Amino acid sequence: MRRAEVGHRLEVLRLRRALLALLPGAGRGVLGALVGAHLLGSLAPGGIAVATGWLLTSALDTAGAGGIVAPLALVAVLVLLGQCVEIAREPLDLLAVRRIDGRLRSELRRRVTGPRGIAHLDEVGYADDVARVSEAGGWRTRTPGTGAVGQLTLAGRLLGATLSAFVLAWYAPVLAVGLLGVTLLMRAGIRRQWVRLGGIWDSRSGDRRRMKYWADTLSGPRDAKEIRLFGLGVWMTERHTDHGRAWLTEIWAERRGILRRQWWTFLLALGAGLAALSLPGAALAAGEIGAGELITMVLAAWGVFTAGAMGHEAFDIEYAVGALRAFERLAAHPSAAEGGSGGTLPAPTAPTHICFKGTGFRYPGSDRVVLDGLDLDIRPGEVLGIVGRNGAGKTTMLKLLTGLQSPTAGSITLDGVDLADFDVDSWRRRVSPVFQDFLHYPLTARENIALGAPEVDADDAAILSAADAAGARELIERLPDGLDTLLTREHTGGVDLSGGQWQRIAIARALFAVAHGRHLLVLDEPTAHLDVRAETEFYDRVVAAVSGVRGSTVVLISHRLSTVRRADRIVLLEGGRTTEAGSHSELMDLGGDYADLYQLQASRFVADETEWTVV
Amino acid sequence: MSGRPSVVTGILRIAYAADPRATSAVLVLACVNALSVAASGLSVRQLANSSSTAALWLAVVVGAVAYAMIAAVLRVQHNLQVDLTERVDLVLSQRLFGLASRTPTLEHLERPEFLDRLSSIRSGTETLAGACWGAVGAGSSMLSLGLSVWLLTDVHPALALLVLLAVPPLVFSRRASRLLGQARDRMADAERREEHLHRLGTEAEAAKELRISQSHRVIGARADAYWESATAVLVRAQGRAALWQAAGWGCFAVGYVGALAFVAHLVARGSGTVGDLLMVASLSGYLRMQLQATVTGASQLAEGRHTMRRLWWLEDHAERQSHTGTEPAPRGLTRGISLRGVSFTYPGTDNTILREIDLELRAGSTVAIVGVNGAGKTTLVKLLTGMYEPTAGEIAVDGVALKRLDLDAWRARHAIGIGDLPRADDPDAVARAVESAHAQAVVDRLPAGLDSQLGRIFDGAELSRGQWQKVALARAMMRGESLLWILDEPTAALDPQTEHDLYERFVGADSAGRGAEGAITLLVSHRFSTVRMADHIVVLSDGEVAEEGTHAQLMERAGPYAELYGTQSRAYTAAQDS
Repeated sequence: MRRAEVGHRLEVLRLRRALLALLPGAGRGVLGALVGAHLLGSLAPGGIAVATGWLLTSALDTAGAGGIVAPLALVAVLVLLGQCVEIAREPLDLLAVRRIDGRLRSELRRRVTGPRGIAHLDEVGYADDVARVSEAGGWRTRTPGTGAVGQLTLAGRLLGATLSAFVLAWYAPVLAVGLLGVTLLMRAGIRRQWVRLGGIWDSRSGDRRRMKYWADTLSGPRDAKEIRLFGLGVWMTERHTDHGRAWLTEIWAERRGILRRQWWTFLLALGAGLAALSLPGAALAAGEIGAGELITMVLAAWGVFTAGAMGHEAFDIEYAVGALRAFERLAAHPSAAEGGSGGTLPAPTAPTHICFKGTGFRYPGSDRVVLDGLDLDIRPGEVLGIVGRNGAGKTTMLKLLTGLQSPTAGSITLDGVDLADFDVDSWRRRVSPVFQDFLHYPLTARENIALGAPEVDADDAAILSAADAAGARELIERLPDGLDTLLTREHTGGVDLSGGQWQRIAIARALFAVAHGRHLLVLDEPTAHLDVRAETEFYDRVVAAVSGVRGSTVVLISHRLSTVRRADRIVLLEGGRTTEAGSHSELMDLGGDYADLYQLQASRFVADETEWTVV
Repeated sequence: MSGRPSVVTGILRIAYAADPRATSAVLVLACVNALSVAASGLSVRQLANSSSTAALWLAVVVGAVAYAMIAAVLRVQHNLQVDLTERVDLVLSQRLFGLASRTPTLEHLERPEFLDRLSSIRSGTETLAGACWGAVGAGSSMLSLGLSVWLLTDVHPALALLVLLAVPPLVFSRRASRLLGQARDRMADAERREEHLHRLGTEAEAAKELRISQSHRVIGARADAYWESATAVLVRAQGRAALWQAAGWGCFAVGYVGALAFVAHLVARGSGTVGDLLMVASLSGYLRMQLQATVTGASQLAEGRHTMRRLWWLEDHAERQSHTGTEPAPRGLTRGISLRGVSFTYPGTDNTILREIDLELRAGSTVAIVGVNGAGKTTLVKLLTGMYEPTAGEIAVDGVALKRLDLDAWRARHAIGIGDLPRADDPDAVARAVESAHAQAVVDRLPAGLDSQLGRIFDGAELSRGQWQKVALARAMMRGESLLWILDEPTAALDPQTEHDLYERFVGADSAGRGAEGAITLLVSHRFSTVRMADHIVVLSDGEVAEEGTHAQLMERAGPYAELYGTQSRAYTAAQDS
């Protein structure tokens, strides 16, 4: 038990030190100014006690009225100093907090995107820790930044209390030590009580995230139609409230318990107050001290009390510790040790022969085999169509191809060299994907297209020509600020696009990338939201243009077999492996599953072939 | 705005309902604490002036109790306030989300300026919930301030002038907090953008594209830039606010020192006592705290009022939008749904989306709507489901205007995505729905079958797009008695077999599975192979009906439909051209 206690103390100390270590992030100048402000400010309470005592002694000394000018000036200087320092600290504190938090947020983003793959993001707990570090607190801002700055404030307060105690000790050393001791004891006790609240807050980060999810769903446009049509508003509001209650009930119970146990702080404070007033009072009555000394002693005792009292900073520190611990866990995560780039070979600059050999994959902690001995060739410059049922492993295959996940069996090679030997960043700079859930960057139309290849300096001509090829030119020209229009309604001045319009932007993004040397274009259901004309034009305009003119490789995943059929080769994925492969006509001749699926879609047109002659 | 309770009484009422004892305790403690500052001032005065031992000890005890009150009880009061604020916040959020989600129309969720207001209410409920404590705090410190001043005038009436010196800090602090508020408002957008980019840069969903394109560095740099620009503005505002505050408190400090000098002078002349000086010195320290509390409380109250007004706006909006129709929705359709001269412009814009649409959706028929992206198909669906009211013209269900129908009952007769929750516990109904949506394979792969938790945010299994779409379809299948089936591009991510079966069920000749008498299927799709099987096809173009009829009629007309159909059909039937 004792051991655990010591361990706990050491851990608290270590975390305090870790918080202090964040302070240099505020910048040397700011930190220096803050420390200076605290040093100056801590002089005020004790100084005012001495000066006021001096003032009274001079006033009572009937020798002359001129005697009070010097002590009065000192009081004035100290009062003004105390107030100005406290006021000046506010912008400095804010600057320090913002700088520290800004650095931490950058660092967090670097940590999340640092590892080679993205497997760590799917682990239970990882996202919670990311949310913990990112969270800005509730009513008050409570971040590692406020915690770190809170440590300084705490140090300043304790210094002020100690200096006041020194003043008091000049007259009554025992009283000074006693009062300081009681004040520190109260602080420590209160902190221990409140530490558990911070712990509960920290452990319920998931509930808050879920509350936010329901809140976003209920008050956002995305799911508004379904909520109304099915009268789900009440049900979802209840879910939101349930999550809120789930964690707040725990907080409330703990806090009420703490409040009921406050009688001891009341008793301690009462005792301290009695001692602080009775000793000087009695001494004055006995004629042992003068009125000036009395006032100095009482004010100094008050200085010990107020400077030693708990402010926001104590709670800021406790809340910050949770976020800091989460950050440490993220930094210690095995993925952090994984090199960012994998091998060292630069990826080939020309289209390459990609080969999956007996590639197997299953997600960590899952029994289900997603890819099961996949053999697949992607030849340079070809258009490869991939067809398969929902859940056949198409997206997983793309993740392996781009090094976001590593195969659990078999291998993937580029021109015969294992993918793992390449510098993965240089390989990714050769790939341009259009996923089904492509990104809607909360940025301008220009940036939404240019971010397909952030490694190049985008000029308007290149962006517009990509937009042109994707059929997005007209919609961009109709936007209020053209390419500079912000494409999100969440921010001031932005506009939102429809599903079909967004899809054109995503295709333009990919084409922009292909035009800048990303020679493997991967299209996952790229026409889902396009209208008939755009869908029909898609193959010629995008696929054929890319593979024919630029010699790039295209992987086209689609359920729209009228689009896929024109690919040079088509493979059918089933149960994580290739079951059929060949050109459209070969597969039709084969009469297998592909032929069946194709017939299924085509027959819906062919039924009236009598009216329609095939052109 | 008349007839509405003030923020303070409104919130206090909610707090009292949530926890009457804690609310009363806070109010009592606020009064007690107001007294303790004055008591502590009085006690130090007596401490120095008392002539008897009894008086000395009385002063000591009163002072110590007052100090203990300030040290311990104030904290209890504050924490009870936080506790109550959290309770009230939950109630307010419930009310807000109820309003936001039960308002039958969508304008407040789709119009940017309304959405802005909504998000400002969302981020303001906590301040609103705490606003009444701002008022309580301000009231309590005013009381305590009054008592202190009363004690000071007892020393010398001229000391009442100290109250005048409270004016500059009050006025200047108001100005400072307004400056800060303005800066926060100005930077709210930059802060939201940083937050948005930060989330994008750290969430699992975005990671694959972000990492392949390597745009994460750009995203990170942009997030940094927004953070820094917000910091610069906020710190500058805080700096300017500090100057105002320094000016205000400077006045106060001068007054304080003046008062000390004055009392010291009285003492030197023999007309003042040592206790007087002690009291002035100790009270002034508290005066500053009390003034500060008054300022903070007042600005908290003002912020709460701001949010309250917006909440009222939302309530009024919900009231205006609430559907007053009472006629029960029909059990079956005999004639159908008709649109007469329906036009629509989104509120707040001047862009006409639909122009004088006349349409007849006959009972028991399948109607397909086709058109290029942006032709107005989705808007038409929104009007049919009462998400918006037409700006002109009328929609009638079996001759009864949609406006006069009980909207909830009418909606209970649609199916788009989600099943009726009460039936979620009926395993047979669920099994049937899963079966008819071809979602069994999806369910089989889940760790705990139908009982598996879905969604990453709930630590559940994540599904692919197509799998989610199957789940959504199964959800729609839960609603058996629909009068209007709306299939708005329901197969975008579905594999060919599932797509085929779905259309066979709804659009095929044998669409008996549809349920209610005279039910209408409204199909919005780019898949002409399915569209052609509809009983009636409507081609929308630029918000107008370009042509309508059966597949055969439209093919004969050789208009836009025939052209589009031909294009898609050829993609399947034409010989390979390469």
